[in-house]
Amino acid sequence: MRPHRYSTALLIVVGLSLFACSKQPPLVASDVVINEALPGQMMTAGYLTLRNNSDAAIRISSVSSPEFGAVEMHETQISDGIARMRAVDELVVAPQSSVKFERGGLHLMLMRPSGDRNVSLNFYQGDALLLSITTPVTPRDN
Amino acid sequence: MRLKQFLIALLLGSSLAVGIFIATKPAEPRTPIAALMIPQPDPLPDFSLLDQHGNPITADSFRGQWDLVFFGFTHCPDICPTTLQTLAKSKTALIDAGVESIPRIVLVSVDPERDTPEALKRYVEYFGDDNLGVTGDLEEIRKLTDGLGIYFEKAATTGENYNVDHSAVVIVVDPQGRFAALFSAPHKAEQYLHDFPIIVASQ
Repeated sequence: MRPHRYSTALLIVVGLSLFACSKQPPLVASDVVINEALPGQMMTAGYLTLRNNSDAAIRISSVSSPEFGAVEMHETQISDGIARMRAVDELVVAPQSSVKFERGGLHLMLMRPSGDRNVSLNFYQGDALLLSITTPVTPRDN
Repeated sequence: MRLKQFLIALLLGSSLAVGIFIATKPAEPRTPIAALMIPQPDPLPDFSLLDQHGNPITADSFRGQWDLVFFGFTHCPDICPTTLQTLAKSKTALIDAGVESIPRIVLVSVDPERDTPEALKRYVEYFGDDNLGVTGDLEEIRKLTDGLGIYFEKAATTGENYNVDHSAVVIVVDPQGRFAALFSAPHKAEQYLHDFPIIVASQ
């Protein structure tokens, strides 16, 4: 696991209408890890940190990627020793705050991978593109 | 001269006394930091399943070695691969530490509908060639999980997939094929490195 491996160089931030009138991009991703799919598996997980640099809450309603058939935001919840995975319909990143997608918690469920070594992720509020990032797929270490 | 001899004798005597004290002092009992040890380990229940090669697996298959048994499924993208990775790292750490009894890593599928032996083979062997994958009839899996108090249930479909809620514990099975201890999530390799030798020594 190398959560910080691609944390600095990989991010290409575009979009977000507030970008033009702000010194910092309102929504920024870091510590992005998109795990390669395990052999024979048609899904994998992605982890990252989203930072809201603005003074308004940012709502993410969907995520898409040209390199995956479908992308969903999911959360693994462990209570009373039982692991339950549930879809997250909308993620709210509070003003001047961060949300971490991490193992055993909030994560991106990435289905039907194309097998490309570099993948893009697009974060939307409704039809509005909030953030687009491109990152290499992270090999799993054993 | 006599003073010097006296001091040398005193030094030697003190060193001997300290040595005897250290050698005879009972060792502090080591206790697990994460594992829950079962005071009177129970044998695994009877069941009839298959391994990733299609060979029969029964309770007897768990005799003769230590096993770390996790219950999960191959369509689980987050906690299952994370746990198997942690177990693989724990095993490597135990080997590197020179621990004599090295456990086998076992994944018992709670999703036999999708986890055929072939699907399980690719999955479990990715985390180690010696790993064991177990699948088969749902009723037979239930015999094993019910006997161990392991919960699993197919959850509501989300999008194009269904999920399976399941216990996130790792069961330790001793070489007599008995449920000897369990680790609860979140799993950490350092916990296994610390606790597993204690569990082995307790037998």
